[in-house]
Amino acid sequence: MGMGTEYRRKSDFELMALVGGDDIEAFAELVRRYQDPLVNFFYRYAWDRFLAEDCAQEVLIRVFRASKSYAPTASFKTYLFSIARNFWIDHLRSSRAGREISLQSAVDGDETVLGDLVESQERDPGDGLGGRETGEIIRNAIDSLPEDQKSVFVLCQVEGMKYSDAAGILGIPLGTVKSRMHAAVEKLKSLLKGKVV
Amino acid sequence: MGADCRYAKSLALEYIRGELDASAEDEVRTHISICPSCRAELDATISLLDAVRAGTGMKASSRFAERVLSRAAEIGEAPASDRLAALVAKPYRNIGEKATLLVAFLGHRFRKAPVWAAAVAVHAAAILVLACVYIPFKARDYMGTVPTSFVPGSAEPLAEDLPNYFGEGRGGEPDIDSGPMKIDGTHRIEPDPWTETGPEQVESGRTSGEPTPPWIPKRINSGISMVGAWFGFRSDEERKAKALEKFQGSETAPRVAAALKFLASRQESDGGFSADDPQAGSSYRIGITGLALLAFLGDGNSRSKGTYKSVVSSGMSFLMDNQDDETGLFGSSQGHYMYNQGIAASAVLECYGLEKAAGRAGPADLKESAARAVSFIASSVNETGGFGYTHLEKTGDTSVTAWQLNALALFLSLCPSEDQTAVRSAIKGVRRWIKSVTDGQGYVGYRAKGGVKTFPESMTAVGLYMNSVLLGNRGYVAKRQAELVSRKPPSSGAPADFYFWYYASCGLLKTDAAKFGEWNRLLKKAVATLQAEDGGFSRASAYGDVGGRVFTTAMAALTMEVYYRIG
Repeated sequence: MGMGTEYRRKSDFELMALVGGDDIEAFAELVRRYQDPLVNFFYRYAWDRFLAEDCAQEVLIRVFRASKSYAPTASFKTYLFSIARNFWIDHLRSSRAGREISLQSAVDGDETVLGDLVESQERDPGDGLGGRETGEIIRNAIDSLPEDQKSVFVLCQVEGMKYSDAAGILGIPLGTVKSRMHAAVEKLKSLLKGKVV
Repeated sequence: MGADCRYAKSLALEYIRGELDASAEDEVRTHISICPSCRAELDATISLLDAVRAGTGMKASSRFAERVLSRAAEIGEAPASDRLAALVAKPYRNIGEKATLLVAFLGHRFRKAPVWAAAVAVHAAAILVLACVYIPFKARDYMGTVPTSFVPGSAEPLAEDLPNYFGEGRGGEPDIDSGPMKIDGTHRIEPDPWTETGPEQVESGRTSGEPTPPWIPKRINSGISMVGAWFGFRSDEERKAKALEKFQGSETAPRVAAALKFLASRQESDGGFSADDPQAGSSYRIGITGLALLAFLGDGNSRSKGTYKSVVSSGMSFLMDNQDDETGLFGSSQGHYMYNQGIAASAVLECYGLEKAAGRAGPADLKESAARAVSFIASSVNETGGFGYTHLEKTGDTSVTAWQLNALALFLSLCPSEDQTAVRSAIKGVRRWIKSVTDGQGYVGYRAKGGVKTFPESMTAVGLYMNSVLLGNRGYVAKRQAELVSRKPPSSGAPADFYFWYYASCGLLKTDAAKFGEWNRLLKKAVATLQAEDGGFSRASAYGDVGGRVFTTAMAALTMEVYYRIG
């Protein structure tokens, strides 16, 4: 049995404890577990692959930096997405103030980000539903949700979190999560009726 | 709806998500088993949520983990490279993941290596890769198994790609409705979220008083897929259906009409167009004809419809009559012929697209011509990923490359049933190219990074357009370039530069609606003072000394048409 398998069997908490002891392989396992959900999370806000990956990277680095002082409270996923949500709020503020992530890093950055685009034609969001237009329609519909409903919807439906976890991340009562989720779904139903389902 | 239905409905989401306690779950399950209406609604909700989840997913790119780990390694207390090295040395999950870590390690270890050491490493890697590719290839050659289909003049065999253009795979017309991207402008007339949002939702913080068309998307997310919307709202009917006149302004349409009338008057008996300068005219007739045709196509004319359908028809015949049956090259292989190739191929493809958009299957002659032309283009990309003036020319050129990208992207969009392997590969090359010539400020070089000193915005506009085709309006580079380009707005106070204005207009339209609005306002103002009474534009503008009035007028028309030419 390889070390990789061993790490895969560890819980998030155990991994974080190891990361705090400078075990970078434990961190690699956490990255493997959460890279897609995090990129996905930011993509739902930014609709921008570059930006989504930049943000996800920063969040994971924040987690790494904080690993020594990490004290398990709620689930690790709740902890992680709390950081992600706060990061996004900070990003919006800083963007409004005119700050941007280094252009140079975008130019000299990862070839794969650009290189993925042509290959991704077959696997772009929405393709499996009958075309790009469908994905675009869905994205626009999600965008049209009020921000409070969108936050709940993205966490609960897209990221698959429990209502209680979403309530913890957003700092709102459980009942509010439920009511916002209901409202979001009803609005999406009305917007997407006859278009995607 | 009874009380039970209301109760079931209120808990439907929690039921779907498995967040109900056992008794509540039983109650809902019992109810939906006997209530077809609630069952149907529940199923609809499940379908919707599945569609949303599937329709907007995004995974991290393949090098994401490598980047994160490399950065993390910089932060820890132990020497980063030691820790990465130890990690790589351990038995790991699979070869791919191990390779990722190995790349991270090597990148970190040698990040401060002297240039000569890096050069040696790169060359050694290149030799290894070439050996891996070349030796098996030569072995096949000796065994006589290498495909015999070559593009004449190509330094490399295109092998597997060619049979699909020239052989059995050619087949019938693609079904445009079942392709991955719709191109038949009509689908944009259908109600969709773009048209329902209205200008106020396009971009916040707009400073211009210029209205923005309601169809300009706030975001375009699918990169290449945006070329599926090449055909905007070109016809009067489409523009009227969209009430675009009020956004476009009443002055643009008559100016475009006058320019096209001027161009039509310059068409020669064989269907071609020439530059004023006889010398330039002979070597650039294909390119000048292509540009003039693009201007007509841009206003909704095709071979079968529009005021100038006969002009388009004879112009297309001219291009195809001058295309080599075997190589696909338009015109002669003299001079800077890749300009001609990219422009002419774009014109043929646009005409093909418009014919398809008009509800036809798409003329086979145009499609065959386009396929051959694009095959030549795809085989002409050089090792830097760019295109030069001639086939496989080692020195790339951003301006030439933009026209090839135009044709490649159109082909990718319009001919989904064709083998697009070579086209995709060429587009990947273009991405490498545009990245290699873009500097840290976002400026784009002509042949190399930082190579343009006097008017860097011009080539940056070309780069912006290329980025917008490749990436939609994503990424900081395009946003930065939009900022740079918009600092040099159209003005009648200096010699006109329609080539710059055209690319800037295209790029801004795709990237920044607010900037495009202001840009377009100034463009209309400048054009109003520059257009001559005969509808043409003076040759006393950028490149007018070579292309003459046909060139400047065609570019001016294309620039004015950007507003509705591409969606």
